[in-house]
Amino acid sequence: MVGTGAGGGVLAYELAKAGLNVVSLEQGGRLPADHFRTTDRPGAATDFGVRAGTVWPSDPHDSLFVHELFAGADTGSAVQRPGGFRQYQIHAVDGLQSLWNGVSVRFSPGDLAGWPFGYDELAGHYAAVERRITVCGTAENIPELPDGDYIPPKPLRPSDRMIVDAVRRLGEQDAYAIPNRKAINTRAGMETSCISTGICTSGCPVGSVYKFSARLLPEIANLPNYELRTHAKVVRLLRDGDERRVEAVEYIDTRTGETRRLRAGLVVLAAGAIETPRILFNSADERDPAGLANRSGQLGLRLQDNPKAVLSTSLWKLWGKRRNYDIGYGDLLILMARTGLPDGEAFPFIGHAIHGIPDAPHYLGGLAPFPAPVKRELARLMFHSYVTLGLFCAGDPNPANRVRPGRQLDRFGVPQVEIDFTVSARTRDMMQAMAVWGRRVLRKASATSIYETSDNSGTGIHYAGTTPLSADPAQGVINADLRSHDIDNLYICDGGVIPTLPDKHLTLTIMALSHRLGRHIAARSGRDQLQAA
Amino acid sequence: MSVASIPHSSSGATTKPAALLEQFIAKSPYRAMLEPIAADVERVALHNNQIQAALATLASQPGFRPGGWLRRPGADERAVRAFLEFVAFASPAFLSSVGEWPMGQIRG
Repeated sequence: MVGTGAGGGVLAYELAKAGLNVVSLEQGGRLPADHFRTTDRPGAATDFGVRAGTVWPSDPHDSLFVHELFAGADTGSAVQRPGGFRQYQIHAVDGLQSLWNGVSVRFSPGDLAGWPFGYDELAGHYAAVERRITVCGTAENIPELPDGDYIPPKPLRPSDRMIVDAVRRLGEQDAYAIPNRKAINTRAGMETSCISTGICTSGCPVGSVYKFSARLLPEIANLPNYELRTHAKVVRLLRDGDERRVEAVEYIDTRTGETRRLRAGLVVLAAGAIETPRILFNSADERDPAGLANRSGQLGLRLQDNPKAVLSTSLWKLWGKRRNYDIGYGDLLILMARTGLPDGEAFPFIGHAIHGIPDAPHYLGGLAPFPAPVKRELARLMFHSYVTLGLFCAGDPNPANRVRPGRQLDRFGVPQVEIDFTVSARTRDMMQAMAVWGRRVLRKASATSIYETSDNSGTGIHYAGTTPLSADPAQGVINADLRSHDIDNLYICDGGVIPTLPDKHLTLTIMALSHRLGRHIAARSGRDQLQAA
Repeated sequence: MSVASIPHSSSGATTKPAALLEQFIAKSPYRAMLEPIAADVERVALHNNQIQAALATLASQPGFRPGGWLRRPGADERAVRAFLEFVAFASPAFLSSVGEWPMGQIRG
């Protein structure tokens, strides 16, 4: 198993619990359990919220992307070009889930159009994962957002109620503002009970937001049939005489620089929609010079991320209010709606209303025109009034947006991939249309000045599409079982398998696919088919 | 140039970055919030790539002193001022004034 994030974590748990011999290879190390409680606390609790890479002036909507855990250009999967696609990776156990926001929504039946199986096939796996990782939320009976198995969310705050009311007053049949669905333990009295930091994307101090190392790894870490091998950077997959079987995984021990091989009866790549194609491209040999599992020529094509519009404001009706409520996990609302493009075509989008404690004062740019004494008073007056809407629409499955082999080497001498990515005029129109809708909501909620950005350069961090599912070997990299069309003992389970990225966050679906794959592999193993294959 | 390599002249021709930061704090309109936490401010400033470099550059300029807050500053000076303002509004003094200090971990 390569990777310990959303896909690799759930799958390692399922397979180890089923009794299979499992080794998880993880490029990075394991953060201390108290890392986000002592070393790197959320918000301004550590070093006033100033990091080594914080810059002035800066875009407040970019503050989430300044974090020491994100991989640098010399270790990332892809070559970073100025103005190009920005890939965010975390090389540590849990991967990107180290800083995961926890949003856990199901895809709808319509979102699975074109997949080799339907929603009914996935529903039971969604439910199993929701119970395993603990998702808070409410049943709403919205066809486009199927309900799940939830524990109660935290109570809405005054700002949330203002946004709910503003959405209702739009009078749009397809517009919703409902409690968020997040993989957070909101139940009281437990070691991992949510402690209401107001923000999840800085890392959870108590492991309340699901991540492999906090929840599932402790249950399998001491099993004799499970091993977590950290600092193991996978370079390529190796075949022996059988062209349809992987024999071993070659990796570098990043602490010693030694190259090692791990023989495996079955390999699962769960390294993400950019790193997984990189490994496959770097596994090219004489028999498959275009990369392993790429006889269809589909590997790396259609890289997608959710285009987004982000709007921040101060609600004047909250000016001067002191906080007498639980700040919770910051983004307590999901927003859903449909809006239209200039040509009249309607499209759906989803997002959040975020209200946290601005102890790290990224709002100061908006107060720039005022002299210091006035700024101080305004900052006090407005402190508990800030709301941000982050709205996401479907990715653009353009085959020209792709991951392809590159020549530049990373710090370990491994070829990085190149990313070709352009944002279409239609995508720009979609982001603009979402922003228009967001402004209407905020104005109805007593917005003052609105600060707005939009982006589709990788900052959604929902990478998908590069190793797509398809029943047709000519159209995809993997089949309905997530198994390579070309290699019989190679599986893929990360965002890359999602052929067309809908508006909704993909993480829960990756985990449901992992759960399903775990059951498939366990059954296959039980039938002794591994030996026969 | 690293912070450690900046020479210090008793004649005042050049100034160590840490000493320069003290001068910035003393001139800041937020000095009442910053001076009680000056040691932390210095530590954080010298850990930040941009501010460390800005202070090093300014400290290497003979005779440089932070100007009054009405003078139009250069880019490095603007960055240091913005940093100090950011820290001031993230300081215990300011957060106390809005009912959010001590932060602790639990904000329920």
